[in-house]
Amino acid sequence: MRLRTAVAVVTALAMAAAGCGSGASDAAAKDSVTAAIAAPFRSLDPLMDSSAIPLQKSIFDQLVQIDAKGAVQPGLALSWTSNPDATSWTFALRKGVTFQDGSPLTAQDVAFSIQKVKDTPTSTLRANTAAITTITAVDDATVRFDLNRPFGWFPRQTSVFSVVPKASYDPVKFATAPIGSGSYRVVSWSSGRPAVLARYDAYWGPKPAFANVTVAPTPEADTRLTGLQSGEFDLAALETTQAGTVGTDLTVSSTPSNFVAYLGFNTTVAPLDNVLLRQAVDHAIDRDAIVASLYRGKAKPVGQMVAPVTFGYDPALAPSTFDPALARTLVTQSGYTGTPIRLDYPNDGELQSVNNLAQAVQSQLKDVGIAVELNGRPSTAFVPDWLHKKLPGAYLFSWRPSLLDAGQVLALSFRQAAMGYPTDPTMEQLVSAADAATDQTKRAGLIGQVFARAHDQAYFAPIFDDEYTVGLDSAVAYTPRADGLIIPSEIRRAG
Amino acid sequence: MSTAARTTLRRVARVVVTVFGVVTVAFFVQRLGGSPAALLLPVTATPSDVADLDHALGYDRPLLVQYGEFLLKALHGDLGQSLREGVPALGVVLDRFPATALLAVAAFGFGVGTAFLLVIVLRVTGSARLRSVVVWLGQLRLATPTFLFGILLVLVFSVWLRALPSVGDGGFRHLVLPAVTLGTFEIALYVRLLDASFGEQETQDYVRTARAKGGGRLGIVLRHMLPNALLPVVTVMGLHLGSLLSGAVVIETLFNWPGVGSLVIESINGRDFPVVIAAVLVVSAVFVVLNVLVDLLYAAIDPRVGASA
Repeated sequence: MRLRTAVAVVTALAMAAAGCGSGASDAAAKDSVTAAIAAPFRSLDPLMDSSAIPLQKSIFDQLVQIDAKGAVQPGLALSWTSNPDATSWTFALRKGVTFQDGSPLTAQDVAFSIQKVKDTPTSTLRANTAAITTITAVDDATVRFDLNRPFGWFPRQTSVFSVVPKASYDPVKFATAPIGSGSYRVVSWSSGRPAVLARYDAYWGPKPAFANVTVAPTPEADTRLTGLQSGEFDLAALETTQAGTVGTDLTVSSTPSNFVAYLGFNTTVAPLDNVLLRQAVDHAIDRDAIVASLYRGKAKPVGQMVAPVTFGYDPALAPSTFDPALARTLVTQSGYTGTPIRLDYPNDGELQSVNNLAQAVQSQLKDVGIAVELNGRPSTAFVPDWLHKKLPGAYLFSWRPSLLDAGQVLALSFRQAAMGYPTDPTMEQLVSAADAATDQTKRAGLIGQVFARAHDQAYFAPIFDDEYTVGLDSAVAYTPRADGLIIPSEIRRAG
Repeated sequence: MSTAARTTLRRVARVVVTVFGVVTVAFFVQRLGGSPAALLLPVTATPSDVADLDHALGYDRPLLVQYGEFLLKALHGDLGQSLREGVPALGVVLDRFPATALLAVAAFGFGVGTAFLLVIVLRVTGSARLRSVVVWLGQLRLATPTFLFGILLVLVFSVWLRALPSVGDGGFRHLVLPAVTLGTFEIALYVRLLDASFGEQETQDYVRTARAKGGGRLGIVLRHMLPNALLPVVTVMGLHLGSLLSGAVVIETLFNWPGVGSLVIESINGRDFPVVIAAVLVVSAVFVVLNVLVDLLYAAIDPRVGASA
């Protein structure tokens, strides 16, 4: 009897707890939405830290913008021109732009902001200023960049630089309460909590759909999904593999991404200095099987170092065929003696299921007679070795060129001065020519030649690219971007 | 110097040495992986960019020099700047500490309170059936990974019933799910401990004497048995509150709770070394201080434990 009473009391309490607060989710016409993004951010200051880049794209203006498809569009700059050898670029600025404190935005502010990045060694954006020698505010509406090398796609590079007001910039204040000229201003934010943004009505560009957007950094993928399902988030970045599980009243939208997973080789030491052996590896990898079994078919095999969404991708260059017989012949021809090749990879990086991927590569190479030793390590150990070209054999790695331009990848992979192993003067020449070309059709052609040569020489074995996925409730619409960013001002009303 | 003063001094010295040791180990373990510069920058950074950042942060100097400088500054209360936020690392941690403390105290209070209530009810009623149900449920909770239990609660109360929020902080309603997730574990833990502890008291002479004198069951349980049954549990309570206050990493991540636990994860992933060190320092200090408090409390409630313990 006593037991039954206790059970009844507990049940009543549980029901009361469940009942309180129900009805909170009334479906009134919304003027504010909440978006969950994966990457936590620790500072909103756009000159010092790029972890809040999706928000910075809405809070601030940049000289140019990259649209959802990856094309360069005018931002603060209406037009831009270069000298014939692409070492000096001049941008004509939009007039009448104001910061959110009402002060006018001029070329002085542009020059100040980018110079500050260049002068601050601890800024995580500083690497983007490497080509810039001087920045000049020619007049209030013109800014000129003089560069230390020909740089045919410099305008795209400027999309990473946000402009802050020279007069009121203060690194401590701007970390949490910055002032920009973008379509949303910061209402409040503190570390670990969501950032609350409100529409800036004097913005020069298109007016965003919602008066308020809250951006909640949510690293845990399960939490983003359940938060969307419980109605606390209106929009959430999902992992591709979650797409099938969201539920009926929600929609899922996916787009091919700029991500590429690849196998790289140290081409300077035996046995991978032998092109025949590298080609054998390239043909021994069963990309279709990897994509189907490890990534639920949500990725695509790729045959070059960039994905189709990235500028410079050559549709004519198909992924290498899976041909174990050919691979075995190539192994024999190469004179490979069976010395085990070390395969390095970061086991905590962006590459999902990387341990399984490494094991798949190992077993596929074993099938054609190539012995592989796995060496998965934390990024803290792997990245410095990669950076200083100290990897002894092959390595699994990935990238997502944030500017959606193959130029970012070429310099890294094929220039001796950077992280590329290939010592190939023809390649260096092609890369330099591609970097210098201002005519984008000509550039695409040169980049195509680079990738074709990389394929012939099997300098890399690209494996697959994947997708970006967002989940949406019935209030919002969003076109997923090729760079995967969820930008507050691009959130639209559904319907 | 009196004995009490010497004992207190010895305890304080022990606290300092422990915290110092923990921070030293954390410093070297972090640095063994190499400089954070390569990981702070985007992959498109060249080796010379990385070298510049290394130099600017002072990470290109010998490890022992860096350690010496770290200690010197730490003595002045300066644990370095956050590499991500550009503000003092200790401040970053202290900003996030109240959220962790709130969650810890709520989970602890709910857990311990409910456990006491349950065990007192069990002892007063003496119902074997109720006891087996409670013990069985407790075992089930102890055997369920906290992350999984949290997701189950979210699925039922947030996704299905839409009754309670599942992400972030901000008011009582936000606190319920994470506190209950952690607190149910505490209930299960303390029910088991207290039940065993009460069981030992049951056969003691003083209980029989109290009964013989015609004391009511409730009075005996509360007035005579509880203080004695409490003793072995207090130590565990201190340790456990300490670990709750050090940030329930898994639960804070699951519920987007802006506490020290999620900060540590963010900082490790973001290679914000000074913040990680500051968090380790704060957490170990809280832990050790709580331990000392438990020792003192123990001496207060049990006269047999002298000040020398």
